[in-house]
Amino acid sequence: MTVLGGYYFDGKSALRHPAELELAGNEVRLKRDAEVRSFPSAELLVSPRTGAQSRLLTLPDGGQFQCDDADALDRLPQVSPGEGIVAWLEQRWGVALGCVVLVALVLFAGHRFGLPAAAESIALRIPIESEQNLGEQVLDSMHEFGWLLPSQIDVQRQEKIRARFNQFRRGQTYEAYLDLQFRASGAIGPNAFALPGGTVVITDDLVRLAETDEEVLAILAHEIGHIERRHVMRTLIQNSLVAVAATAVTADAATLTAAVAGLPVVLLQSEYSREFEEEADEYSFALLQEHGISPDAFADIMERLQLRYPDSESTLLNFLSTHPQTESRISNARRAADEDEPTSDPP
Amino acid sequence: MMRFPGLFDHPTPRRMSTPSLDAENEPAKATPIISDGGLQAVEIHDERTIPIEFTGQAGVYFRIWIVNLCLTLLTLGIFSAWAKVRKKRYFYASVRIDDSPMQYLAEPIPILKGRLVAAALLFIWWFSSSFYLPALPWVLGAGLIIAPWIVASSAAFNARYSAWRNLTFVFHGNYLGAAVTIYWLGLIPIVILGLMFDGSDSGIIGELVSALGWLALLVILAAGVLFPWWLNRLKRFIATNTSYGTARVVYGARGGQFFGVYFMAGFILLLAAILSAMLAFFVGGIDPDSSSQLFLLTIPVYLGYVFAFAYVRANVTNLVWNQAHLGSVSFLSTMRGGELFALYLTNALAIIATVGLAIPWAVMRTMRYRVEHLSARTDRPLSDFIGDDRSNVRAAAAETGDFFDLDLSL
Repeated sequence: MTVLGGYYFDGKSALRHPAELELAGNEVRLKRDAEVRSFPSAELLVSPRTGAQSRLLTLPDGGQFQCDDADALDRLPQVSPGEGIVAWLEQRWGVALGCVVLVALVLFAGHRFGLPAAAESIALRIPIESEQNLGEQVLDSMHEFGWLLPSQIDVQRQEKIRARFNQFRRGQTYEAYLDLQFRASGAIGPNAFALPGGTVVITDDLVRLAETDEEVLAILAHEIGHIERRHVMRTLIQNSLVAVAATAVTADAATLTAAVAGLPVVLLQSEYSREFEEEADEYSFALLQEHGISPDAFADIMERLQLRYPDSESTLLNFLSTHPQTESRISNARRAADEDEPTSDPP
Repeated sequence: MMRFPGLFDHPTPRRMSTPSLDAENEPAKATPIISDGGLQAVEIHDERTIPIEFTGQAGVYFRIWIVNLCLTLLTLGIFSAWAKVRKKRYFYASVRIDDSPMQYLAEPIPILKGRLVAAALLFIWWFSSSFYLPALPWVLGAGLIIAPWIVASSAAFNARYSAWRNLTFVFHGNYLGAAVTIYWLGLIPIVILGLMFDGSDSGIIGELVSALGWLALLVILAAGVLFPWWLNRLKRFIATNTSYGTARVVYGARGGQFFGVYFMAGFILLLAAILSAMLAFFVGGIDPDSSSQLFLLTIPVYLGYVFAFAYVRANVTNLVWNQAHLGSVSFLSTMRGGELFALYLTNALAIIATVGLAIPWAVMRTMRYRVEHLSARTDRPLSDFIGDDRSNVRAAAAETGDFFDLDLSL
């Protein structure tokens, strides 16, 4: 028989009454002053163990008994039986240490492999039509803000490039959605981007910077890569999932960490965007080679871009590691061109 | 049983000299005025302090935190409902009032349901804000309709599943009360409606709508100034609709006092901005291309922001507690903005230095600070607090299982 000292709360007022609870087989006896009452122990409900705090037993009469934690309590009916295992795990430093390692591994693997794979498989299941509305809105607002103006490139050159772009389109998954637009740029300088929904925009400054049409096509192939690999949708999904995961990890210190947690999230997200650039580069090298163009064309225009517009990428947002990235992208292109040397024949 | 709604009305000592709370002490300490007449004068007591302690330990909480985080990650978030319950139980049990722990009674399943509903709502918002902006105002409009329900139902959930000495808290507010409170003067609805109809520009409707747009702009400006009064109304709504057993909370803070706190916080932010500008001036010309210099200049602004945040936290908490009563119990909260700022700053540094492993330690010491700067006094015995059918722990347990019994407070 186990005797537990503690307090009884009758559930009618906030007074506490010193009492004793005797656990004897199938019966519990509550002793309070001179009064003794018996209950079947199967009708007790014991609150889960939390750290080394007191536990509370709910009695059939609507009363409650507060006592220190004791092993005997685990043999009585529990409010939440499944939590016993968790409470057992929580008491051990060895388990805690193992959990630290496991959490680190899960977070690392999730960030490296799980999240990108999940985002990719979700993105491929969402039809590209769902992005078109967004793409149109973006293009409209860029016109509205004066960032894009009608192109000044002569129509013949446009048509020449477009014809080769159409060759590139053939056989792509999103062939019917890929669309090329020339625009003069009000504020964004030499630039090209893939809009959600399949439209590729290239600015006049970038077309003029190119010494050959092949260089323009190298850039366009890169943008086709963004669209074919669904980078817009994957970025959206991945960034949202990173934000959700960061919230889950720091949840109960939300007010403490809100100011601190923002930075790692931005860093993780910018790492994903670098990876997408590399993926689009690789896509473009393969597509160029397929059409008999050396990836050197990509390296050439990137080098010229970096030389003529050294500030174009050094904004505060990109200050972390854009420059080394541009250099490694150029050397990747050269390497791809070298591997292709015997067959390539750049004009 | 609120025979003495406020202590301030009764500053003079009572005749009986020994404080008493417990039943075991009551007959001995409350000396009968008429000893054998069957009348026991246990009604008059000295004012006494009800001890509030914090017994949470960083080491214990670290293990709870990491085990639950690990299980949450391994179950792709499903376990998070159980994790929330485990952690809240520990937080509640760590607060001991008059040597009895607070008790958190919620079960994981209603929390899981609440999280699924919240996730669905967040998804709708995320989807419309990323892919279909024209729908966003309509989503916000629908949000207007359900927001009061979220406010009222999460307050009710929190109250019902918080207990002390076998009596739970009860929330009496409803949808209508919450709607009237948060849509005070129609401020938020006008802003949303203005957004909803912005952009359509033809005929009389266009004129009307653009007028509404301007009104919305004015309202946004006014809302900035009126925010302290709005917040006070929200706090009042939550507090005065909460009862412990049958005793309702009496709330005394006024909007003007909230405004004072926010005004000072604005002043702190202004000082930080001036400091940053002076720093820029003394450093000499700033090279706008140097991101490290720009980063340095943001430090005073950042510190100013954290300090203003801590200042608001400490003073709003003090304001709410110090002017509230629960039956005969009055409270004294003595948090200080500067101390809380130091706490936040050291927490942030520790969390960064340990890649997050110091989070449980930071949580525990912040809670300890809050609890240790709160005290309660009463001049009545705690037998004044009585329960009814709704406020018994066993009754609360019986309500679990109702579909709308879900927790939306993330």
